[in-house]
Amino acid sequence: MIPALIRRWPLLRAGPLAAVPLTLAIALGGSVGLGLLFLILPAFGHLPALGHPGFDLAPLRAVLAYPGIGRACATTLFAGFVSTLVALGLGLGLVAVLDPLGIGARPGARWLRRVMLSLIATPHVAMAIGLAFLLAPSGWLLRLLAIPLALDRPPDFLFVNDRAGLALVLGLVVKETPFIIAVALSALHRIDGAATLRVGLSLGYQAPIAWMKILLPVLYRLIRLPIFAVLAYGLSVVDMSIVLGPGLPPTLPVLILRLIDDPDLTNRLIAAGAGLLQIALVAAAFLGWRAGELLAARLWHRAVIGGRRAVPMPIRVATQTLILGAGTLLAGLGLLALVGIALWSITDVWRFPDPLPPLVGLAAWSHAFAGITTPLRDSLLIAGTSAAIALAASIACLECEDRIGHAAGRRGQWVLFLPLFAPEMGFLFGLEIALGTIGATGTFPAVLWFHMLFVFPYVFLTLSEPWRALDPRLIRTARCLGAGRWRVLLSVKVPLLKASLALSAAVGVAVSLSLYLPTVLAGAGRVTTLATESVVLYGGGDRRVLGVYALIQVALAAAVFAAAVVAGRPRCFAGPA
Amino acid sequence: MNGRMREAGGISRRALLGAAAGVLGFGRLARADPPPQSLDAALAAARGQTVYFNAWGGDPRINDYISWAAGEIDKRFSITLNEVKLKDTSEAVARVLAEKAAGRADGGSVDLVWINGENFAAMKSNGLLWGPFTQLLPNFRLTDPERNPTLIRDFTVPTDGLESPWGMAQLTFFYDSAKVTLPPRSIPALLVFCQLHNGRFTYPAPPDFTGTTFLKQALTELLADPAPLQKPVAEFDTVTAPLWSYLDELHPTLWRGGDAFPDSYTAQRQLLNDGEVDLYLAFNPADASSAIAQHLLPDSVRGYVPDAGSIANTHFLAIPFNASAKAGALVVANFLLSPEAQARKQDPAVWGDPTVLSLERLSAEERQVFDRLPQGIATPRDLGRSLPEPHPSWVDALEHHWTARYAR
Repeated sequence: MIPALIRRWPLLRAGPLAAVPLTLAIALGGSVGLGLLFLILPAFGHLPALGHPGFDLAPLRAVLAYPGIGRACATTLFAGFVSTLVALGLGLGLVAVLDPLGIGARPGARWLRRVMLSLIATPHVAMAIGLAFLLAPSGWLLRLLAIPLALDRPPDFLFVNDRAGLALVLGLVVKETPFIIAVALSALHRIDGAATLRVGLSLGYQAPIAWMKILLPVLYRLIRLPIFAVLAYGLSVVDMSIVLGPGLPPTLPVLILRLIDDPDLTNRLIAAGAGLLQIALVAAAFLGWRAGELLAARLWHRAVIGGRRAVPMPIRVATQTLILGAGTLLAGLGLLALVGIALWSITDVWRFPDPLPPLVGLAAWSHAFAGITTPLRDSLLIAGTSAAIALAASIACLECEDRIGHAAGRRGQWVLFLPLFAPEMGFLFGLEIALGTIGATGTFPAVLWFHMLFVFPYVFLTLSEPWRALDPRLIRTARCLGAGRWRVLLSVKVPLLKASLALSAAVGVAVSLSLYLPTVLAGAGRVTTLATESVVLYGGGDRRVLGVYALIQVALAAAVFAAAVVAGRPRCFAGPA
Repeated sequence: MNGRMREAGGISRRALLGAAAGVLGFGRLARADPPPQSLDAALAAARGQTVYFNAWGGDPRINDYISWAAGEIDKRFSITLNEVKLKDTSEAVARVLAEKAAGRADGGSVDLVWINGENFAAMKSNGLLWGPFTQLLPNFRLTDPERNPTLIRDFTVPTDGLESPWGMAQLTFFYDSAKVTLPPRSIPALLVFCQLHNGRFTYPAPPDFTGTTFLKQALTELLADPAPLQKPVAEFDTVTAPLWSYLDELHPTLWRGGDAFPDSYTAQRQLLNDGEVDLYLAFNPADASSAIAQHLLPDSVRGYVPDAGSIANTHFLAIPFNASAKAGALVVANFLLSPEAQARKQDPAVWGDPTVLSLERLSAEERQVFDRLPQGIATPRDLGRSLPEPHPSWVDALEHHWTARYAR
């Protein structure tokens, strides 16, 4: 009986530890499912708590008739799709040019990693705020150019919050390109790129052509999951869209958030209907992307079969220049945005067309400190707790996988990543409605739960790669020497993986620090973090204080990653010579 | 059925909790304490309470003032005042309404809310407010509703003691005198100004309260007879037709050609500081003085009220029916109405929000504090006529129509 059970449910072989992945799968998958259920019911007019016991199509009809809904959908799709496409193209292009094998040997590759890490670590809201400072008609860039261009007034053009959503696309590209680069570099580790490339070269292919024709298709398959996550994120983003996106009408997720906050509670039904529309939008975008993949695959196939081994020098140089130019521009904008934030935080007076603040001071810091303690404390508390739980749970899951064999262990693991692909605005709003029925919104555990939905998958993704790459011979040796499974875990695996564990924890903290919508919906204003406070302050007319908030977020994330590097340093067995 | 069962369960849990707390000697932890009948009773009951004060949080100066008040309140009354910063007051209304719908009759998440106008009307008509309570506040006696009727009639709706006045407001226009010599002194003159100086003016997008007030100001000035605005909405299309034809003409001449609008008056103030526009509006006549003091505006900014006068009102503090810390909220409301707190609030270096107190009812010393406050370089010397707020039902109608017309 029991052996049969174990054959059908290999997870049971892991013993009590199996409870962790099971619980997680139920909690994460269940959250998404519950969120969707509590979204679908009100979308069809059923919300007994607010006095709507029946079912009807009125909310959906109201959504379709809502002013500006068509435009909102169009800009959302545009921003999500274009930003993903550009980030993917540019990210892979930069990898191909600067670090094609992902070994980081060339000097360019080191720069790529440094810049990329600093941009990844920056929370989305802070980056959006920095870019808005930089790119508005009265922003820093035009202040720098004002005297050469003889401008005494900022020009009157609509960028940042432009109707097409281009500023939003730019912001997303600045944040997502480094992410694509990071996952591509880590995936390259799994392919024996050098050998593959050598075969290509010996067949007479130029290195870049060999990379594109042979390595790229393999690489793409390995990073598909993160790409879809990027696409889903771009279509659901709220905080960046509030700061950089269009206003009249806003993108669909922001429109939904406005409907949720409306005092007319029937608008919550409409918001639920719009949440369904959001899900449909993401589904359509996924299908569209899949269609694009199939088309690209055919084109690639034809190109590979075509057998062309070289492209003329000018084209190669032009492509490289274009990629490097775009990458430099993007990194420059991102880093300049961060410098701008720092400048504003110490500004006293800074008006157009002064290229730099003529009066500086620390007034904004003392101002900000009056109100920042609570959100700062809560940010750290939530980020620390969620990252710690996520790390422990990830270790348990991966250890389970080790004990029952990788193939069996990975079955059903996709459930753990569900929150990254499910449209945030849809299922989180549904979950908030569910929380509301038991009066649990605005509590610390509720916020922690919402954060876990996103922190865990990222921590798990970061840790699983190095964990699975661990040399099995070391473990076997330890077992042969008589160490039990727990001892192997604690004295072999954990010390060996110290650096990866520290990095995963840092990723968890950084993800939590940057989460906006989950905090807003679960926190109901009573639990606030630096990310939510920054968005409130964005409209507040004091850029200096906003600069302080944004800078503290950037500094926190940077500090966490720096601490991870220090904590992850290998142990020194011999004293200095 | 289900809802009732849940409620029953909730009550028994709460009762248990209360009993446990009582045994442990922490009686104040019990949630369903009877609402206080006097301020003295409230002072005793409020010690150790946490008051969640829901307030529009878009202006750091106001947040700083609330932080100051929180420090004082903690020191004097041992009450923790937590500001819940809202992007729009309607968020708090929605939350309380949702709690009522979910059957949460106490232990609510909002203890005190900064409110007026349509949000007050919505809460009052839905039975979401606790009170009347203003008769319990000793400092309320320092106001003079007879001479200042907006203290007890909020957008024409009687307050019935359900909200305690906190500050005064009158829509004020501000301009940069270094760039504009003759600011437009009426709504029709504003159109001419914008046609001559394209892109130098804008207003916050409704439903932001300043943006909506601009619509009300424009409508009041454009109507030959604004009397219908004092009654609930009727014949909306006919009454408001002049407003829409005015805006249709105005928008192409605005900042960004009317394709985008700032989110709030503070965002527009920042646009003036950035040199993108030459005018902004605020509900607080001392707004620019206070902003100049904090180096948020050039000191060439000056304020004025249109020749025909401008919309004026009072903003208030109210306590939701299910507030968890009613005693604490009462103490806070009374403190914020004290001459000391009101004088600090009126100081342009702090916030500059005009007091609701009647100076004649203060002691000589208290009056002196107010008299010594600087007037502020950009605050209009003469606020002119104050125009009445339209009935709150106009707010929703105007906002809906504006969104449908310009946000698609």
